[in-house]
Amino acid sequence: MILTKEDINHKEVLRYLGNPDGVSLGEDLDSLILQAEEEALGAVKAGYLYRVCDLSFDSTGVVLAGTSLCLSGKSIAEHLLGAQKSVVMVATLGVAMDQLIARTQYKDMTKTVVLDSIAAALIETVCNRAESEILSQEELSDYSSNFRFSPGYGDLPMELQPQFLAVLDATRKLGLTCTPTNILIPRKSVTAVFGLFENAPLAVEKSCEGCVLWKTCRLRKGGISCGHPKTAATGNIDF
Amino acid sequence: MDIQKLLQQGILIFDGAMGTMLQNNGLPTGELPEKYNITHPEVVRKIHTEYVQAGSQVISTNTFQANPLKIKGEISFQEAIVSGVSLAKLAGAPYVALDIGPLGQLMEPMGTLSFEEAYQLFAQQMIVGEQAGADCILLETFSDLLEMKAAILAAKENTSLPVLCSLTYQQDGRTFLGCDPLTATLTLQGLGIDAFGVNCSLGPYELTGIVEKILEYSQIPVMVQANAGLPRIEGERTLYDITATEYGEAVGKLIEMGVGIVGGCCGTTPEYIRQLHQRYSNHSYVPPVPRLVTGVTSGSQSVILDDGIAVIGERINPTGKKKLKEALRNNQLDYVVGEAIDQTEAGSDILDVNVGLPEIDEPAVLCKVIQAVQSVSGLPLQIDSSDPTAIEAGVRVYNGRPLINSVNGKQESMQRIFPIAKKYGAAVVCLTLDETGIPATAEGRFQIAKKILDTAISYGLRKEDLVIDCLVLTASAQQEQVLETLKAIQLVKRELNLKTVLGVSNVSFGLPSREILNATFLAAAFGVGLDAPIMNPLSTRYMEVVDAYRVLNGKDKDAQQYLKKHSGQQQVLPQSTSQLNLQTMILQGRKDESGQKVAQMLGEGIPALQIIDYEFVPALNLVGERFEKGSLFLPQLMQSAEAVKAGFEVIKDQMRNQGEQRQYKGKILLATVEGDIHDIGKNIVKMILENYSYQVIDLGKDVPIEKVVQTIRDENIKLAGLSALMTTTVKSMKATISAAKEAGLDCSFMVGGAVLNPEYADFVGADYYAGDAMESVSIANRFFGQDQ
Repeated sequence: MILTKEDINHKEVLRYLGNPDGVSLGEDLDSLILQAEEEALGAVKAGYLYRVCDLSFDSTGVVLAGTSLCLSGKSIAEHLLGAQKSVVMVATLGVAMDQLIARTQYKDMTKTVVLDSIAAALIETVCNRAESEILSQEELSDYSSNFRFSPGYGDLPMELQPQFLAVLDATRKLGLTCTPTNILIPRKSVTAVFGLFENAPLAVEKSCEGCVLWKTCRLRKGGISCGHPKTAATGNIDF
Repeated sequence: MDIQKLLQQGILIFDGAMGTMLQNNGLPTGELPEKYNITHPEVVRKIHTEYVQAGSQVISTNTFQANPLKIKGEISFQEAIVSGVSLAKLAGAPYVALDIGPLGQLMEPMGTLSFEEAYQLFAQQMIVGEQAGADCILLETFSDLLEMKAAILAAKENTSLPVLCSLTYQQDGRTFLGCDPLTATLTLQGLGIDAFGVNCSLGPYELTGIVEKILEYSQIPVMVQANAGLPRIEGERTLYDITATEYGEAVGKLIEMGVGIVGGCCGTTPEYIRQLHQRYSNHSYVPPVPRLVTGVTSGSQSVILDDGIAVIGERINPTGKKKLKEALRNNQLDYVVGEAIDQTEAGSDILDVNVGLPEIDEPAVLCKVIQAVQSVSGLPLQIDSSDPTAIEAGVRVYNGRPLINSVNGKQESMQRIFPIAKKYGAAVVCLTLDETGIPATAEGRFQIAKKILDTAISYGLRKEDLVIDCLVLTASAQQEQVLETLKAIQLVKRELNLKTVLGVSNVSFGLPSREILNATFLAAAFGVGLDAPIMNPLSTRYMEVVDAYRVLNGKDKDAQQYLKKHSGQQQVLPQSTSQLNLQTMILQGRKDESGQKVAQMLGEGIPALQIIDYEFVPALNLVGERFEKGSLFLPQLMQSAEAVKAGFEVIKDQMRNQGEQRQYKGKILLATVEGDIHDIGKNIVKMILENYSYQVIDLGKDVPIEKVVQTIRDENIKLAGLSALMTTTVKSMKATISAAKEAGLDCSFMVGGAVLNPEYADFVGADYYAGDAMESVSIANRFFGQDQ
């Protein structure tokens, strides 16, 4: 997937940097951000994989037909209730982004934080684009979808991460790996599942309540939602 | 099984995909295929049999992921391997290859798996596989050169089986970890493997360019197991775009190019193998003649000395460098890493790494430094030590093909170093000295070079593996010897056709304005054919000589690089320190100016302590207040912190020069807990605590519980800060704190990280919760009684 400057949601980057109103941070920092955006685009090697599955519900959770994946927990069952099919997907910005961020840490912590925020905004863009590419296929044109649901959000266990990777053969096809504590590496990667509905989906709005930052979020205290509730596994920003 | 012998009989044919076939036979996607060896042996055996009937001479076992990290539960990895080998044999396979894939976890430093752990995991699989009767080991679909190296060493050191290796590349010609085929070829062929190549990801057409590159340099047989073209997803199925016949044709082109071993990967079936068998089983194997070069590599790039001069950056060497010595003794790798980044950005091609200090554990420190440098720089390294044990430890964990610095003409030296170079496939710098010392004449040094070459060949090395150092003596003490060095280079180049290296700056020792002499000598050495100067790449003057010579010798085509760097260059005037006062500079985050300002103030006689207490601290407090109020944002807070940090660097330098000890307000341990790899937040806290004059012992990320406990005890830590970013690793935070308390240590804990909150902090048994970096300072101030 080719990404350009237009694919960086600049406002989102500022929001991740704790600046929700997007006020200028001064000439020096504004130009640092632009420079970091260039560097990030130079490092990014984005890709995604997906699979459309029929689904059924049993006592253990949501079973995705033809795969070894069974999604446990109450929240994912609610999320997929009424769906005819579901899409399992993974997306990543690639390992060079991790390397860029790690390297920058030694010389420039400010730029590191900026790069991390840019990468967080980019992976969101990649997921959005992947989702729309998937949904634009002819055979899926009759369906509507709801939001992407990731391990670690609500009560969907993070321990499912290796299963997500296995179902999509993501280590071989995308270079995606998972630590024993279920952290995805490359770091800027997302695993998710969403429902496909012949009628309007029941669960539409992603709420802050499922977010792991529910109690500590500065934005929420100020009455703002970032729009991307974070999961324990794929918390977008790393600081 | 002898791969070379088999190839004398013709093209060697492996089998095709297993995963695709298993899924066609009912294996649910995402289920471990290796479990089928136990649960559905008849299915696995049937697939093997079909491949044997189609003409496969070698069958790969269904054991790609049969490792202890992937196979857990009722079936053991040993069972999966033993039954995997037996099923291939039962199917009538002429030869059985123990198939081993990557472990599925990324190695340090990007991931958490250490080289040694990876090695052990591979060794366990291979020992079981050999005992079960496998005829060779096939390492396939690797992306990480270092992981491949660990696997090869495990195979060579624990079994006597032939080893075949194959990496997987993306359409941009690189693996997921950024390795290109040239780099892989130069690195792996020296490790004693029997064949090398490429599999998966792409079809035979797309792989042509990659295979061509490998064939150009490979001194060992090349293998290709391509996919059946490019994949496309159709509903719930993955389909591939070329037919068996097309595959057969396309692979034929690769065989004509010089490939000796073929098979298939994802999407191929027995029909594809039948095509290969029908077309090529009687085809004789004609290996291409490889280009023999002197090349070194990292995990992602190569430097070939035959293609032009290469600058070896000399700065990571503690000789005569107080700051580096101190950093190495205190285990502070940041400084070393900073040197690596600076030299890389300055245009080095290779970096020398030497950590030789009498009071440190050199092998251990060398390995750590190599790993740290490789995490920030893609340049190949020259591993430099007088201790062969340290050299072996270093080249073993090194990602790529290193240059060893050095061997010399003494028998003892050659006996120790050449076996290491041979085993790990390294290139070696050879010093032209021996038991009698450094010969005074060019002829004497040439004779030693010759002796070294002959001995190296007797150890199985090639002449391309050697780089000769004709040694520089100083113009001040041995003026007549300077030209002897140049003459010796000429002799070595002309008579032996070997590459040369030279530590240029020795020539000016004891004389003023050393750069003038060094730059002139460098140009003269280039003139007689020097290939790789060891020099300070941060010197503009030396780099100008390098840039200019690359134009003059025609390697910088159309002077493109030279023009880019030197045209329209404006004279840079010395930067004048702005008229702003230091506090304003800090508030505005002017980190490029604050250091100069501090230097100026120190020069005016203002004591360091006064600068810290009356400039740094008030400015930082103000920044902190604004940050708390929300009138200033995180990047601005950090710019200010970095401005203070730059000021502190100047103060530290002055103190070091005057032999003064820094005064701290307290000592704090910081760590990202075991299992967690997020360290940006922890590093922000570290910088800000240091700004407030706290000494920080930073243990890094993914820190084992025992290491935290041990350090608290050894360093008598009273306040420790732990960071975790995930709900799952908060558990590890709790375990760390409990372990410290159980050990009876009187240490308080502050905790932070995105998912933490006061209740969580309570739950893990922490004494303080720090919501952000500034709060950690207030906690530390309260704790150490520094509250004003």
